[in-house]
Amino acid sequence: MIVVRQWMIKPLKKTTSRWVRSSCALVFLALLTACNPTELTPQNARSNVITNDGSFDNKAFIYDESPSILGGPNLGPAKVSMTPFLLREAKTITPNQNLTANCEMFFFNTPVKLEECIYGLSKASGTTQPLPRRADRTYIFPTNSPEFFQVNALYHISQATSTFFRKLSYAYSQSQQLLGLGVPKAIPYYLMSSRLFWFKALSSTDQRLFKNDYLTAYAQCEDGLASFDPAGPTICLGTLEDFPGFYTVQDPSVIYHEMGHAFVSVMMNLRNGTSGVSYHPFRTNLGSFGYDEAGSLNEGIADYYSYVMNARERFGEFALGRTVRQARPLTESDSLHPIPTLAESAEGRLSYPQYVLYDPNNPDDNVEDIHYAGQIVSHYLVALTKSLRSDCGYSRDRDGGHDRATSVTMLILSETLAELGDLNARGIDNGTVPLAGSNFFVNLDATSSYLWTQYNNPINYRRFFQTFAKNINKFVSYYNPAANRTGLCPDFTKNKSEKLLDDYGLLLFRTYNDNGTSTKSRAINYLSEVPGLGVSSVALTSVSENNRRKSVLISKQLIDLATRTDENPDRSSYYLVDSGSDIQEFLQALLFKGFPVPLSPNAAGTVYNNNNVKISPGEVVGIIPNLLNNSNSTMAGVQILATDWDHVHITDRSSGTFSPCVVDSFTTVDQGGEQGLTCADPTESTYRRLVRGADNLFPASAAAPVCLVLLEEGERSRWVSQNEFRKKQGLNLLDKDCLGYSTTATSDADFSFNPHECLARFLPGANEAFFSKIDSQKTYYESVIKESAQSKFNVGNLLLLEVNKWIPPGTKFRCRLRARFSNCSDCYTDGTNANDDFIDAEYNGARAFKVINFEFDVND
Amino acid sequence: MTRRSLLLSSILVALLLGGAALYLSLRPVPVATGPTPSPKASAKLRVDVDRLQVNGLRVVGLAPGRERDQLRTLSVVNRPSPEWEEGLLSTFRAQGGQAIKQMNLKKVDSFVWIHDGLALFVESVIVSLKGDQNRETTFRVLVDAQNGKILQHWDQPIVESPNPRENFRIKLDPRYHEE
Repeated sequence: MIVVRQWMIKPLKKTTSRWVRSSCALVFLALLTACNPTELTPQNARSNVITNDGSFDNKAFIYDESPSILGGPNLGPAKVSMTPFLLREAKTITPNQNLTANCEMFFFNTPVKLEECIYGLSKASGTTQPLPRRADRTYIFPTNSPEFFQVNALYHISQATSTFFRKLSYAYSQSQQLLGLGVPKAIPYYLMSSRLFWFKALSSTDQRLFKNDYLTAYAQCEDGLASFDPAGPTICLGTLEDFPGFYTVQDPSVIYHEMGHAFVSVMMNLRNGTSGVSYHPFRTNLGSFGYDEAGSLNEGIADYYSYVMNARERFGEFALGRTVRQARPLTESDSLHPIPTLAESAEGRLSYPQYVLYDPNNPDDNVEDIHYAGQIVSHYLVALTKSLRSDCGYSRDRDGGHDRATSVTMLILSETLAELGDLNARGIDNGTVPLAGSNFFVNLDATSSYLWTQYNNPINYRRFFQTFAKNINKFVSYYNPAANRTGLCPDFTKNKSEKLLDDYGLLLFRTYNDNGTSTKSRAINYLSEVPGLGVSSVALTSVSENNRRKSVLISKQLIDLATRTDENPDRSSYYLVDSGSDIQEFLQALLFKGFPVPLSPNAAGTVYNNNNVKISPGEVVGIIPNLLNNSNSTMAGVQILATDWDHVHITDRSSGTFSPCVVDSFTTVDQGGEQGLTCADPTESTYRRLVRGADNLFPASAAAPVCLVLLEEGERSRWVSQNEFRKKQGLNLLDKDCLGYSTTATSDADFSFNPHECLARFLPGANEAFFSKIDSQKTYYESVIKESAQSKFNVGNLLLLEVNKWIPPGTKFRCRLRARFSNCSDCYTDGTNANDDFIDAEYNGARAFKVINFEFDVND
Repeated sequence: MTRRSLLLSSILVALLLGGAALYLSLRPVPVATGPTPSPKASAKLRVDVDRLQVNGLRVVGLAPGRERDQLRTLSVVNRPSPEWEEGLLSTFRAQGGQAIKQMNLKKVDSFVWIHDGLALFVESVIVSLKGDQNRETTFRVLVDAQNGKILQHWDQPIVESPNPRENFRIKLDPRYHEE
């Protein structure tokens, strides 16, 4: 609609001089060319300067790009008026009478609508009531006012959401077409009834899953640049103290990025509710505190969503670029990349793991951060989209194929995340209904699935891209006319897909792990649960090794703790942080990142920390294992776990006393190790911690805490459980004096207490560490920290160890940590079973890991 | 003995006694062992096998296909108590200390959770914390409904830092690589 402003120049006709009249008219016209009706509205005064004849109902004037895109790269960031950047045509904001948006997703041709699924507000400290529509039935508020930004935020969030629903509808329809073809898929048919395509959950129990059943969008938050909070759920678009008058909401690409996080959260949980009454009590998250590959994937996908929305190959030009020089490119051709060898070619890709620490704005500085590592993901996804455009004939579309290609990519993403995030642990359904049998096909089982998705088999680059590649093969590349099915684009072949992954160093697997084995037994596959699939067998698809050029796989035997040698006299096996103030600061940082760490004030605390770089009674210390890469290639995505695992044989069910299994050459039979009995059995298929059951007995087999203690008995020393040690060593500690024992004012019962971590334990919430990469023949410190400008460790590098204040000095501990990495040749498969991946139960033991023996004495 | 030397002797004795008392109070002293608290026999629970509920609450973690059999012999070892809230808040206080300015708990669900071979009454809670330096966070926890012990936590916020170099990091103790 064009707004004609004849009424504004009417008074000029009264001037007597034609020359003056013409000049004034020209000046006014010149001024008005950059204007629109909102500009004509005085601040906080009347806004009905337009005559709303109904054509402006529910509309407002919006900016569709940031000032950097519309006004030039040198504009801003502080106090930029949005006036010159408003579209000439008013856009519909919402049909509602307040600033809320509705959601609608189509399931084939059936729409499912969620009223008021998004609330647009200003700031958390302000009103919780959405802004009402103006009396003139428009949402036109004074430009640059808080109301104006709320309207613009809701507009862009609604755009992002409706695009997401359109693409998820497409994914749903493609996925359901596989029903009856013998092909398993993850997006559930019952999504329409579970309504988990949005945060609005099961209609009768919304309050059980979320704080609110709508997404709250704050346009001008007081807290930081931007955030997504899944527990709200809340999107927060903030500001930066150093740039008064700058608001994140001015940059729609960042709004799309934050909405990308929201959609990742939705996609990961598509399978976690099955009907109006059945849902899993947890939700899956992609990422932890500090650096990890799950968080990097989340950032990369969120950057990609910005590309989905605006088709531009750079993200955050204004909000990140003009403030802190941190805009991010999405393709290798972007001029932000200062490295001339980067190019959109097989050789020039931003490949893993070479570029995991790469900041294009400061290419000489190594910084471990999920946004930098996520660039590999975003570059790959954009490259895939471009390949689909060219190989699938989409480029002939009016938009160059952007919409169709991004829809296919979002299909693959949603299928992948739905499967990997399945806490009901099935991964597939029995046609249109959930599986009901006793077998599980992803994430071990419904009871331990959260532990598996976050710790034991978390989503790293290998696991994600293996599943992603499987879904490309299933939905896009598949070609088998005899089976009456071809994929969406058979011209984008399996070979092309593998080559593109390899160009990015992401061909980190040897098979597609697509033979449907159960999580607990290799002898069972999903055909036993879904006989109606109509196929008699499921084959394992292998990667063509000819396509592997860049993606180097390394044996786990080549990673270990560093040791001091003549050639490297300053190498440390680990770094210890025992300054009370540093640890307290770290604990606070963890808490405000949403990671509660339950300390044991009865037995330990930072008040005992003495900053002597040794482990003393009562301390809470940070441990940073300094891992050494003995191979000739770079290791990446290194995870070290201090969580309980199946490494002991329980000898007495009344006390839970155990003998450690012999898993390496460190703990031998002579030192109290056990080789036979339950240690010789396959790993426990059910995860259960070593705590007393309702029958007052410990289980016959269980996952035990990692730290053993050395018990001296006459001539013999043996590694034993901490429970045995405290009883035999005469410590006479009550349970309530142990670490991890919770009591209240009136009750001293703690039924989930584990007495086998009474003396030393890695704290829950800080019992996993992650390291971006370790260069060939170097330690982690030498590869990353020493080379960085700050020489500081990422918070994700630390394990927190709590030490009981009653431990006699001189007590020796051995903690059996488990390490693995993403480009590992034998951490996920050992070459048997045609390179099929380990089943989930095997991640409960030693087989998939290199056991790292971390030893320490307690000093006085 | 002069009055002055008597005074000095008294001060010395007092100091010695005080020092000894301080030493004894700080020195780790073995505590007499006692019986390990054991799960109490379950009081009468209202088990609804058809609805798979205990005391009107759903039961999460039953083995598929064996739900009813499992429920018939289920023993829930803890008992809900309003003290869970204080227990949970004290956990946050121990971790966050003075940095916490405001804590809000919103209970959103109660159920029986079977995990680690134990059935526990649990509360699912949304936690909101406000701290110094405009720090805020919201996340979710599952806690023991009797003592507030955290059994699981999830749904942490994703916070965009403007410049990753300014994120909180741990400095290396200079004693490790002294020249």
